[in-house]
Amino acid sequence: MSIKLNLYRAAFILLTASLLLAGACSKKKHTSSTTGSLPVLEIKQTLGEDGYYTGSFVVPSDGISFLLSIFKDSNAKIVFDSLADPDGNDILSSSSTLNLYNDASGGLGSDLIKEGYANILVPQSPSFSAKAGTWTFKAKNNDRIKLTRRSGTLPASATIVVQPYITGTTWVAGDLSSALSIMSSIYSANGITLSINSTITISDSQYAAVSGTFTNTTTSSLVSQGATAAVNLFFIEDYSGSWSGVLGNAAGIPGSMGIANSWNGVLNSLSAHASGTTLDAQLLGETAAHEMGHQLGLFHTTEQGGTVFDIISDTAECTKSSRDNNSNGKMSAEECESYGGDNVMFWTPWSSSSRSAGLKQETLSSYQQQVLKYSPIAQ
Amino acid sequence: MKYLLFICALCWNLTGIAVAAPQKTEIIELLEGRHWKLDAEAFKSFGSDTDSVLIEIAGDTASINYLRFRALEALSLFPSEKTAVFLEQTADKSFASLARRGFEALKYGFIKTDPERVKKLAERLLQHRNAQVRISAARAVRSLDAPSFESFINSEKDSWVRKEAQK
Repeated sequence: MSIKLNLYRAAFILLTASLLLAGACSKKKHTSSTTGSLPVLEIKQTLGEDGYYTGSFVVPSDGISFLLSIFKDSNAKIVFDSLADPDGNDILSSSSTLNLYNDASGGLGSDLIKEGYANILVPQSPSFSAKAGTWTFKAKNNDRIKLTRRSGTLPASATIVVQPYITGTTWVAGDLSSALSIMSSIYSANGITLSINSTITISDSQYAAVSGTFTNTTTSSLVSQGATAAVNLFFIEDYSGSWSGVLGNAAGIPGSMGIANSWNGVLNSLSAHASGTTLDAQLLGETAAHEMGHQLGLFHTTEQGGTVFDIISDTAECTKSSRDNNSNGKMSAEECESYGGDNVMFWTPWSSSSRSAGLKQETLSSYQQQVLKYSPIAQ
Repeated sequence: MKYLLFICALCWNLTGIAVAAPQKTEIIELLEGRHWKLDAEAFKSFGSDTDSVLIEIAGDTASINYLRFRALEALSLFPSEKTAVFLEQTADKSFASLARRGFEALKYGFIKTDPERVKKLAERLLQHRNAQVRISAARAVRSLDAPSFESFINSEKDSWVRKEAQK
């Protein structure tokens, strides 16, 4: 009788314990998948006799991607001197067969913004992979190096959390819903689900119009408010100063991911997308999709002059030599129709008249989609 | 006969040299792009009549603002009386984003040739209800009229505006 009672008691305790454990596990999983932070590590560096800092980090066997970021608090220019994969290939060396020397903002050869912050994204094209093993880097004069790393099963699809913000008083959060819906549809049609959080209104008047320079004190203070586990889209009422003609800009190609700082978001100008105060939702949605593409590491498929193209091998190239029909040195989306003019990442939107006729920029190539699906910030 | 041939040859050459008035579509093409910077050389290559086309674009209330903003910026390259009057009207009577750009175009286009005109408009805009317009006007006044600038700093209610104006 006593043994039987003890068995019932043991069974009751086991059942209660397993229920409590299951509850705790599901809560933990929920936190990390929707509201939690990305795994970000600060990497210890060693100063060598040559004046260079060196360090290393390990990509696990199920590693998918990483973003290695270098910081300089004075906002002086900053780059990596090398980043070697586990096989010893320096992907920042111009002499390596496959390299990001001219493309990563953390590479010596690129002309991307490097003031105070630069980075290297792997993979930034399907030609690269986050190989398992120990990666080593070398850099001068930095204040810290951080790693945003993603591991798990290889993604066939992906979800990216988006956090919109709005500034100024001319428009309110509800005015963005059509554009956000268009942006979401663009990504969805390209195999990526956007989980768009409710728009946060930032009412402080100093953020109504800000500079497009992310090291600007006001812009930095605004963008640093961005969430760490989302792509932050700041819909500003207007740009200030010399940025008056810009529709939007990202903090980098890519920008920062998983860390609250001045480069953790993109700016989209609302006033530039309006006729009077009526927003062009299609164009605003396309701009937001475009800037978000930059923030996640995508380049313009074809640059303005038709002589520089992205590092993705399956995107159309629209060359000046064959497509600049009016010889003005600028490749319009119309001249590049069927040559990437409809790609989200083409350098310029369709002209006003083409947009009025219903033309849209809503496509991403298979490899562009892959870069987004492998992004450290995607789930 | 010799004179007639000479006049014909002269006319032929002159028509070759003359720059045709630009088409609106050609100018709009220069204003397109997601990330845009003023290409002064390209605009100037269209000749002096370009200001009329830019005024037409910048003044078109049905047009999307980014084209109007850029047209205003490009107008700073054509500092004619017609341009000055249009920019002053834009700064005085338009919504804040356009007003600021109208003023800034006037400032860049006329600060060397007619600083008094820039100063007059700037002083009016120091009272504008939009903070960015006041900042832009104050920055211009700072180099043109130090006492007016001091007075602005002493009367401006927003501390962040005072700080921005002094940058």
